[in-house]
Amino acid sequence: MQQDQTSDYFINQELVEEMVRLNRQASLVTGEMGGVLPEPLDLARIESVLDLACGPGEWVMQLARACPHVRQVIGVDKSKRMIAYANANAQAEAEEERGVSFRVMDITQPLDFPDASFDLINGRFLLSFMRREQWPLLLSECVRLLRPGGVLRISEQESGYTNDPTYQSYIDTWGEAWRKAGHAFALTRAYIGVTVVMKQLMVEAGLVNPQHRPVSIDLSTGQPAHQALLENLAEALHLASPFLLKLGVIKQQRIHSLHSEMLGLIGKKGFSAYWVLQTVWAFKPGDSGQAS
Amino acid sequence: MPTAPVVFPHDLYPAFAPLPAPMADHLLLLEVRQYRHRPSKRPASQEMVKAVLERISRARPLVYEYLRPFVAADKKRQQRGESRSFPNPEWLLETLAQYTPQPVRNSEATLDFWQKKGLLRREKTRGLLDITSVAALLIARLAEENLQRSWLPSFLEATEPYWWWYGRASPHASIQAIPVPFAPGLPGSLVVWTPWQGAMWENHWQSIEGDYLYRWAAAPTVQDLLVWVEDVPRKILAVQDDALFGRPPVQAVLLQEARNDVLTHIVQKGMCHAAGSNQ
Repeated sequence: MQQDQTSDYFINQELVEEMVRLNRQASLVTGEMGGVLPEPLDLARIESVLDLACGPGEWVMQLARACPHVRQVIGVDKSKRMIAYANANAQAEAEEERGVSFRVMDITQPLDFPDASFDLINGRFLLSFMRREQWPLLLSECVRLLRPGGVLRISEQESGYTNDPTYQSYIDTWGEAWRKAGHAFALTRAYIGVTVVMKQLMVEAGLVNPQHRPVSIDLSTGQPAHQALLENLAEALHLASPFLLKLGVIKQQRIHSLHSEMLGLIGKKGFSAYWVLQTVWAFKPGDSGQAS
Repeated sequence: MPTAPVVFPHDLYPAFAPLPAPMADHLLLLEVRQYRHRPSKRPASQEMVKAVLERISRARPLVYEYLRPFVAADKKRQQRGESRSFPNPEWLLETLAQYTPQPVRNSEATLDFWQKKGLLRREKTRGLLDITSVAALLIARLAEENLQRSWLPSFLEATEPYWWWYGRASPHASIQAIPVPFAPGLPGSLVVWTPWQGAMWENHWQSIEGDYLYRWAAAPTVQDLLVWVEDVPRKILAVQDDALFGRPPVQAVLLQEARNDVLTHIVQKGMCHAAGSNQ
């Protein structure tokens, strides 16, 4: 499968399979995280929202539905086809009328919005393309785009834990890959570490009052997310073959076998695993509202 | 001694909907070719048929899910009085370009060539790309996982059916592969079904339960419905001479309701079962 050599994203986003996979994953993760904005934020103050690297736009659409008072929700993504897909989704569901729009933009570069444009900036799974050194620039850009009192909300994954050697092998492969690709902050491949440093990075960028909320998605046999998530994770492994092979963290034959083994976990008696995620949020100072 | 080519058995044609048979057979041929230098490793024909069918079955819902918002957005635009614009050649070429070994986009001349060879259809009236035909191309492209250049057969005969549905004309009849477009003279009691969810973008299909869409092949009469069940059609017959219920417009409404009820009954009773084949 073709891999865009100029992109740091781990899968060619323009593939049909990846757009559908991301859409399914986003829906699953939003539900498992307790909704689009489960944190104790003053939603009434949020009128304008930006979603970073929005992918197929699932979070944007869900937010527009959940918070009808929000007058503008913009999703940005580097992939033209992903944005076309997101725009089609919005048009199909008449969400454009609620102020939903999507634009092609690379969030590793300065963003084409005026200062103080948004009350909330959201980002999820940015780890998949953000190298360690790119975070300070992005966070500074977010501070510029936030209104005083506005909130930056970043949700990232932190590997997971399991009682199964196949799933452990899957976790280890990705842990190693993110480290080798320069995306992880972890000291070992046992975790990723982006959420470990996120509060500190946000404070260094000028945000205040950072908070966090961990979420662990139970993908053990019999749990609601079990099959859909295992299928999704297995598909990610398959689609990310060029990325993983280029990093040299796994051989092609092992990708095939691990993919099959992952699918073999579906319905396996006694299989237990948790996928760990954490949301970190912080506020732009200068307003007595949310930031206090 | 030359071996017979491996092809899909006729009763499996509806299982690879919405692909035309030669397109699916070509994927099978590519599967067979993988073993030309190591014939001893070649699996049994049945296994290769199963493998290709599995790949098509995996690609089909992905392509449907991918196309769905574009089709829905286009329908919305048409409701606003704009002309149909999806799927357009540029979109198709961009999508296919992701599946070339090198990042090379074909020109529209390729689409014209495919059309000439019967591999891609356009609507006769406006020359727009046919959505089912586009879906078939994308499914074939996704199902051929090695990104080979010759992923399509060289041509399709003009008489080749576009794709195939499952069909059954009575509870006692066997399940058959029904070519699309229909041949004339099909029984009025024929129920058809398909795993291709994009069929919903055309009229008449119903999602009743499971992973299939169902419809009557044509417009069954009361007598046709009686082939499947007795109760519902009999109720219509019983009121044929009634001053109110016997009037043609009322009878037409009753008949349409009966068609829906009988179709639902047939599906729920498993008479047109999801497995779909006689195996």
